[in-house]
Amino acid sequence: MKKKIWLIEDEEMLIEMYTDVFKLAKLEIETTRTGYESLEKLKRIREGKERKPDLILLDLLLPDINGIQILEEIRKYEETRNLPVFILSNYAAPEMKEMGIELKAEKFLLRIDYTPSQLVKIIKERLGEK
Amino acid sequence: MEFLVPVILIAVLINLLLGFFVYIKNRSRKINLLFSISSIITAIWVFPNFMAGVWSIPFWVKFGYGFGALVPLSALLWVIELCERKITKEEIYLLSGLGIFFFIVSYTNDLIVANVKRVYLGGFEGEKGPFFVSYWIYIVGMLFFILYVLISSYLKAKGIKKLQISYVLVGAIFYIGTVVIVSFILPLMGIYKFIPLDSPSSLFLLFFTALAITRVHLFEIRVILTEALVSGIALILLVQVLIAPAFWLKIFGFLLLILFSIAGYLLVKSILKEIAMKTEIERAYEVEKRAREELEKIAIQERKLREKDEELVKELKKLDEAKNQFILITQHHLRTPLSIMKGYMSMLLDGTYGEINEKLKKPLLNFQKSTEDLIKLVNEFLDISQLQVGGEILNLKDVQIEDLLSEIVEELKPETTAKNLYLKLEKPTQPLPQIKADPKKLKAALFNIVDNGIKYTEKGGVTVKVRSMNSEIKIEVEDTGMGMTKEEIDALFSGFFKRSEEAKRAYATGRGIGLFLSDQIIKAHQGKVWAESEGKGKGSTFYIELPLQPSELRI
Repeated sequence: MKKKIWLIEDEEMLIEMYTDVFKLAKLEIETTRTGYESLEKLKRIREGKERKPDLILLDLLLPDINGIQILEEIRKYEETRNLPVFILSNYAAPEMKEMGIELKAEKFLLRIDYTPSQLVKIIKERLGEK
Repeated sequence: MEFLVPVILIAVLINLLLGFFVYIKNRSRKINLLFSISSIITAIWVFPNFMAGVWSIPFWVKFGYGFGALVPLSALLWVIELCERKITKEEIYLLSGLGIFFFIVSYTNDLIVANVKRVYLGGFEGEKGPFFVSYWIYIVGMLFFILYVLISSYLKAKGIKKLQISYVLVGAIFYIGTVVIVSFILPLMGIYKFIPLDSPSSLFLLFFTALAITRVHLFEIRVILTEALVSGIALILLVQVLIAPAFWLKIFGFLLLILFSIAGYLLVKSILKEIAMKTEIERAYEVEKRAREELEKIAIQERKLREKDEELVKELKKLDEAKNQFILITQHHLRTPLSIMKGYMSMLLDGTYGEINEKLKKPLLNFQKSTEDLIKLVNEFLDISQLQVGGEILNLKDVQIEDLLSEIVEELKPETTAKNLYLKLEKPTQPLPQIKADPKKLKAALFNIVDNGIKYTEKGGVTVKVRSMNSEIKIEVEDTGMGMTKEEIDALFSGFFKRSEEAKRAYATGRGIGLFLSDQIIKAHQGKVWAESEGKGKGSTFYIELPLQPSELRI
């Protein structure tokens, strides 16, 4: 079965770009564009209506709430507590980074530093697919 | 009865002295002049009472009555002046006319008292003249009028004026009281011998009035009472001297009087001194109080200023936070499209969207390179603005500077190897003292400078030297590169945002904005950075000085 990446991102072009590159890398990709949408999805995952993603890519600035709040929600419930989360954002406020580390985000990736293929490489390393 | 004779004489003399004293106290004031005239007239009026006891001739009766007519007139004039009452000239002429009329009538004719047969101390034997009744109506009327003026003025007056009038009234009460006692009450009890004291007791009135007019320690009742007591006792002693039956008693009394006078003088003086001291203390206290109030006012102002200051700082902090937030958001917004450009470019070149032909490869690579440059520029700009806004306070730690430099040299080694340059770090064998610094920022600052040296060197290499001197760390970054002109050096670290001309120059040298950032960071550490160059083609040296303990760390 393909590994599933959940991309939480509101910028349409980025979604398109990552979708292209992930497909090529044989990764399944699911996207939510707002905090609300993401929390709904999280609920479905908790209730077992949806398969858990293998990795979450989390943007920090979303139209409604910030990424840290979603991360808090992920860590709150038994069912999702251990999901690996990479923060992938161009928003680099130091306190956000601190909070992310506190909430056990595995990586804090400054988006602009990585090309999509570099990102795929990092993801695959994490998922044990080389 | 004989002893009263000198008493009366003394009263006369004191009256004269009072008049003289008040007059010389202030010759230009009308009230002083009027009072002096009044005192002299009163003295002259009292004088026949004395003469009657010494030389009994009927003339003294006329004399007494005559001047007696002038006494209330002269008194009324100073009373009006003292009470600041308005009186018309006509009224003055009328009253003066009356007074002078009775004076002339009494003094020259037998119209008031006639056929005086015998004169003695305190009285005479004679007949009433045709004007006797009208004379007394005039006298009593004048006296009541004076009292009326005094009392009504007293009720209206305020402050010092009220006090002045009250002194006069007290004197008047003493005077009237004495007259009532010696002329009416005592005679009713069969004692007649004190009757001659009636007119001399006007001295009381004059004495208190003199005080009121000259205003000598008017408010110090203690002094006045002491003075009155001392004068009273001195007077009694004087009388005793005069009436002493034996010569040796006179001498003894006189000595006693002198001793007492000296003692009395010293007593009054000491009281005056005490009062002066008290006043001085009060004034000093007043001054101190005012100073304290002034200080308090200053303290309040200071506190207000401080509060304002604190408010301002708070306001600034808020503003700072807002700006910081703004920069972070801007950072995000600028980086997102750049991320997309970078991402797609790399994907295109990777062949994600199919093989690209060779012809396209070069322009796409240029595109990618420019995108990377743009990203770097944006990052640098954002770093600078973040520093400039003052958003970031340095994160201070103990830093071993040579370790930091070693890391930099290690990281830049690949670059120099590629360019076939040397990169050396010269450090003392003993470890350098640690400095308080933000390791990340300081490293970035020094990295920029070394990197800059490598960038502009084609032959030779870069040497980094570090040592400590006094309480400073000194770093030199010496390259064998292209060197700089003086103008280029001047433009190196300047805030080229401020003036476009300098900005052009900064770009012209190709040094970019990295050095500006380095300068800002080093300044934030209260350090200094400057460059020297012998000129074009002769290499450059960058000097950095950092204090071990910056006193105040802010960006």
